Amino acid sequence: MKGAYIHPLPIRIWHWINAFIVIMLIITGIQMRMPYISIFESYRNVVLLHKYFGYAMTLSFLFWFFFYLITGGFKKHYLLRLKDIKAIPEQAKYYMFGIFRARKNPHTPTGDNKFNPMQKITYAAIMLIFTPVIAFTGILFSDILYFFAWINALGGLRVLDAIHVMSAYIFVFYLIVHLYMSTLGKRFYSHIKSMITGYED
Amino acid sequence: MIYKTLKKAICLCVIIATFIFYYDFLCYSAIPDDDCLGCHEKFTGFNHGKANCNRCHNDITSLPHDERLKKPVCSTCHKTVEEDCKKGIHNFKKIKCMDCHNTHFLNKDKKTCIQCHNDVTHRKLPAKEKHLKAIECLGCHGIAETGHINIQIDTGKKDIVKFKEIDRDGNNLIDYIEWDNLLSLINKELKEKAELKKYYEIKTKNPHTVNKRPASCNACHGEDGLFKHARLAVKGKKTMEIKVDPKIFIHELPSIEDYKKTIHGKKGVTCSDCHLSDRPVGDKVCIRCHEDIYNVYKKTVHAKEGATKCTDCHNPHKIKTYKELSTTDRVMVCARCHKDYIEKHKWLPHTVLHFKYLECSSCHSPESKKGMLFNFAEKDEKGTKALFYMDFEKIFGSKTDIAYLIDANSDNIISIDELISFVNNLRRKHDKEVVITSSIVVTEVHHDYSEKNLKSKVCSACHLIDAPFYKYMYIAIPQKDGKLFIPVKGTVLSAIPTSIFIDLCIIGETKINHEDIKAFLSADLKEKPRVLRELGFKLIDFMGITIIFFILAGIFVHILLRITVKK
Repeated sequence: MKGAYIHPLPIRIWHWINAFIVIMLIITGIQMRMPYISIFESYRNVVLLHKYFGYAMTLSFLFWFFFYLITGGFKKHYLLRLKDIKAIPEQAKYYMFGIFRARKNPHTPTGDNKFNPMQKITYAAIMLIFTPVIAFTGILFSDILYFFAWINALGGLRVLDAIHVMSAYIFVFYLIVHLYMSTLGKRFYSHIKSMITGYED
Repeated sequence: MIYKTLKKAICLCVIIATFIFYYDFLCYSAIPDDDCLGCHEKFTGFNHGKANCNRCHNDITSLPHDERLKKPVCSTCHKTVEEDCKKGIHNFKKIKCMDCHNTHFLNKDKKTCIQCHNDVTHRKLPAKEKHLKAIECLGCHGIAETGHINIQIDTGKKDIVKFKEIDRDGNNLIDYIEWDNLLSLINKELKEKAELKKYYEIKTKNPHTVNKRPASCNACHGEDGLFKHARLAVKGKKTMEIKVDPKIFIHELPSIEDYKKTIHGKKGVTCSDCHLSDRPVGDKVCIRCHEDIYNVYKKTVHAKEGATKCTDCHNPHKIKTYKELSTTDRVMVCARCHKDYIEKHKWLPHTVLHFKYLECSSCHSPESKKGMLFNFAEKDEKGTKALFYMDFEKIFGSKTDIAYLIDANSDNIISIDELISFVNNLRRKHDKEVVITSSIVVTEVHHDYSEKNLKSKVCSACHLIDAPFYKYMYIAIPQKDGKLFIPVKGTVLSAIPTSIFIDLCIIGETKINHEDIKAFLSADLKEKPRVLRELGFKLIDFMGITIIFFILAGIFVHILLRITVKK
């Protein structure tokens, strides 16, 4: 039996494109940060790839942002209501204990409310705080001389670098957890399948 | 009573006004011009401003006049001109006004300098043709007040240049580096060498004071030269204008006083040691002292192809110790010939930015020793300006040993704490914000620059923890005669607060290695916070990777529990 239709087509397409962009950014980012790890042959190409994927991520973010803004998705899926806050301990308890005993997930995703409260907080932090921060700092890095006054106002190159890299680490933390948690559906592939077909099992 | 006074005053005014109105007529028009021209036909249509015949020939009171008349005196009207002339060589040579000016027809037969001085050789003038073509006689032989250079480049109907892109630092002034970049860009787009028109405009105080001895070279080529402004106009579809640094076109020459301050001067090299004859100084002269360097150099492409001799790169009159040259100065040495260096390095991401902090020999002379150099500077809205000895003298007085102030524990190496406390001290005493700027420089030069087309184009030569310059870091302290370089502790780079150390971020300095961790673990409990502080930005990667391990461990435990508990 098909479950609820929770991921509309544009969001599914955006998700996989964005996933590819983020993974490429992380791979190139690792080589830029740790040049002794040679993933691509030329460091220069790595720098350029990172730059262009960075621009792509900015566009991808803008698409996501305006899509949700126009379709009212922020209110439906991201707004943290009082009952959501109250439901956090129960959700956490499920991930830490209930899941091992095959208990039912306290949150059932629907087309009008697809995220559980912990997802809401995490996704909102990633998409509304860290993505804009990393994209903005990345754009400043794209032409340091051109944005020199901005960079100086922020406290210089090293501060900019620190902000960008710390946000990048948060992306990596998030990605690892996100990838693992995508296997915590009814079956281990349920969530992944729903991101392809749109229907949750 | 009041009416009477007023009446008198008005009458007086009317009389004075009438007198002034007829003054010309009364004084000078005793004889009308037409009466004069009746006999002196050849002066018909004469032109000397508003003056008529009788104004100069003022000893004629009635016609017919005496046969012998007094010679008109120009200074009756042109008093200041006469004074100006007296100051110059023309008065000494008894040159009269009429020798240059046709007094009856001012616009006719006006003499130019060359009409009398057509045999001047200017034998001693260096770059004679260039100078004589560019500058008019009075530029050197008059009393010059201001100089201005107008440069024009015609790019046809193309709009090639965007000054926003060329003027990378946004100061609305094209400097050395930007100029070379601009030229190579235009030449590339036009596919030929762009025609450059330069006009050197000199405003003289007056054209009548002419000196035999020309202005000294230093008048233009000195530190405070005449040409203070230059403006470039690029003509494409639209004409765009921007200010240019005039020193690009008028190179600074040293004076003997300056020479005494150079390393040659200090070591007692006299003029005649190098200038054995009036012929230009060749490499042989330099070899007499610098044989070791020449032995390396003679095997290189530069020497083999006869492209450059020593003096092409090193100005022997201005020679500073290599350490004293800034990165830009060092790049400029090469850029005099390799003008298209920015274009050639387009493959390098952030090309212009790299050249702000790197010199050519960092890559093209692999055997040179590289180091990192820190300088004190003051910061304002416009950017940073290096602090000189004068500034330090003003702050601390001339008797204070600044090196001793920085290196508080006198161990001949500067630690992070010593640096921070010195900068804070400076900030308290100086009214501007003091910061530390940095660049990567060659500290010991190996004269083989043959390395070109670096096929590998390895970025990791610098962007890695074991990049050579991290081992040799110095802080430059301006002294009365030169600079003092004190080594800086290697850990400093990742730990100086961002407000002090502002503009350099390579990647290697933020890498933590096992030595750092070992140092942290082996430190006493009291010392631990200090060691942690010294790690500075290195902590980001350390914390990041540690957290990743914890997350992975957490996931691993979660998977294990999912498998085991369910069973």
